[in-house]
Amino acid sequence: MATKEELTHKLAQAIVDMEVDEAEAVAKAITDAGWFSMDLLEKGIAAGMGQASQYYEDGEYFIPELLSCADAAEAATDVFRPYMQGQAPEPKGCVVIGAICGDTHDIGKNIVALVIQAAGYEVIDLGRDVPAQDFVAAAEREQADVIAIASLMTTSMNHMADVIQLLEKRGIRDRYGVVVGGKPISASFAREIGADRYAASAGAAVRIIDEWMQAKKQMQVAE
Amino acid sequence: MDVLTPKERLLRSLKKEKVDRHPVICPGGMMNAALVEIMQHTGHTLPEAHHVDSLMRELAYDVYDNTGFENFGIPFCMTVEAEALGSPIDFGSLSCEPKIKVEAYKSVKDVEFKPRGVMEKSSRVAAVVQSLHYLSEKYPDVPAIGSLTGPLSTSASIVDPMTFLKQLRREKEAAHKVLDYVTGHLIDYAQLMVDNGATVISIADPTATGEILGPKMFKEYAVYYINKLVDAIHAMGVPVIVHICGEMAMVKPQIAELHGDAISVDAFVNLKQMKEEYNTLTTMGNLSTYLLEFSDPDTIYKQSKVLLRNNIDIISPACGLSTSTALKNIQAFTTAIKEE
Repeated sequence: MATKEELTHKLAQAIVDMEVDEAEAVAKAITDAGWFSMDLLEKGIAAGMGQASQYYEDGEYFIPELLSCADAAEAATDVFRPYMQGQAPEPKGCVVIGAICGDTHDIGKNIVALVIQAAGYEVIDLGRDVPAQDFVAAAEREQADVIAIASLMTTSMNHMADVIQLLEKRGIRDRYGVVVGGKPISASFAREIGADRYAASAGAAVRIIDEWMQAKKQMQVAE
Repeated sequence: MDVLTPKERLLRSLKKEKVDRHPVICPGGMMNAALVEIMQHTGHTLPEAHHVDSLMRELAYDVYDNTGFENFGIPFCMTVEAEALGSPIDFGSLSCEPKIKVEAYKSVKDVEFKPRGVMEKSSRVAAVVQSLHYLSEKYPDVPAIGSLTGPLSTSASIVDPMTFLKQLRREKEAAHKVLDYVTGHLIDYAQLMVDNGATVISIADPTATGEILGPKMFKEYAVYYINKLVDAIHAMGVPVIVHICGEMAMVKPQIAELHGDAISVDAFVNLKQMKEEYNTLTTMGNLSTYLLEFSDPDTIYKQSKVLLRNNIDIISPACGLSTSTALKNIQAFTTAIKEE
């Protein structure tokens, strides 16, 4: 019989391989054996999604593949959920994300949300065509660390600045890291509208948010 | 001095025949040039002009007349096809383009296959083809371009796009069935456009990018169904422009397999290099829409000259224009090309 380590590895592999049924079956084998523990979420599911994200960034996987990996991860998580008994892994931070008002496309934003979540963050996805005030309201309500705004069209990118202006007007600009991204967006545009950073890819968004959280922690220690 | 009419110039460019100078166009649809500034001036406004043929044709004429683009481009959005196939539309505002409110189906397996003929029953299809008819009769020297939303983008506008993309891998058979169905209706719509005077059909398929699909699925789905559509339009005797969004490095060999008479690309694609690599390709593009919106007439004028120096066959914006782009910026662009 397979050991717990072997099954954990097998679970991660099933996620990388986009095998939804296999991921579910392995997760069930783990719970049937009475081996469920919270670290499986990290070592099995997050590890599998981490590898999938890496393949995506390397150009080996594309969006259909990455989405299928996420389905496999979701299937395993569903099996584990009753065993979690209210315990949840401590997220690394909270990110509010959405595609800005006027934007009809959100495939890219969904991918970024997926990859950020796979990296261990709590993600509040506001969807597409989101007005500026909704970003701010959600960030306040969820006590978010980062606001991530996507725009895929030149038509909508100007509305990104509205979010930042609204934060400034309320005097809460300093509370949040603001990351922007999307096809028409550039680092200089991000600077121009007063965003903290520009993320060129889903992987870059995770690295930027990790850095932001690190800096935030250090600042809290210093205070 | 111009020797050719704009229509002759565009048609000859699409056939790779000699022309007096490069044409500068904006095909409509995803590349809609109905700027807020023009509409405020003329009073022919969106969103009303998405529905009413008399307004649609006036606005198309206003765009032609004010911008200097050498064509009529209709419609002004990418939702006509999906609406006819069942998705409810939010028509947006003067400055904001229409969008799909919610896709009609959750999965490719839920799609109800409507019989052929739904396109001609759609009131918005009627507005589009009546406008094309009117403009092509009244201004026979100006090419009237009918813009189509491509098969992948239309499918992802009637089926939830995230599910649709997954199903391209996991439910191949059902996904192909939906794409085949959608392509059939697009052919019907193109036929109506052609029957009513469209000079050229332009297909934009922003969901069909190498970045989203990867090379394998780009070939299996995008190239296959776009070519099926293009071949059908060719059989109607009309040339086709195909616009592909996004970065292309990954799908360059597949781009060369597209049957379109011209391939239009995004701003960051090096068209000069692409022309050298695939010398049979007729290239179209690709002045940055970011530059057009945020730069000044001087810079735009200079950058437009670069496109001429690189001998891009048909000059156009690189992608969808922002409707808040200043008219003088667009005019600097078209002037630079026409002065050649």
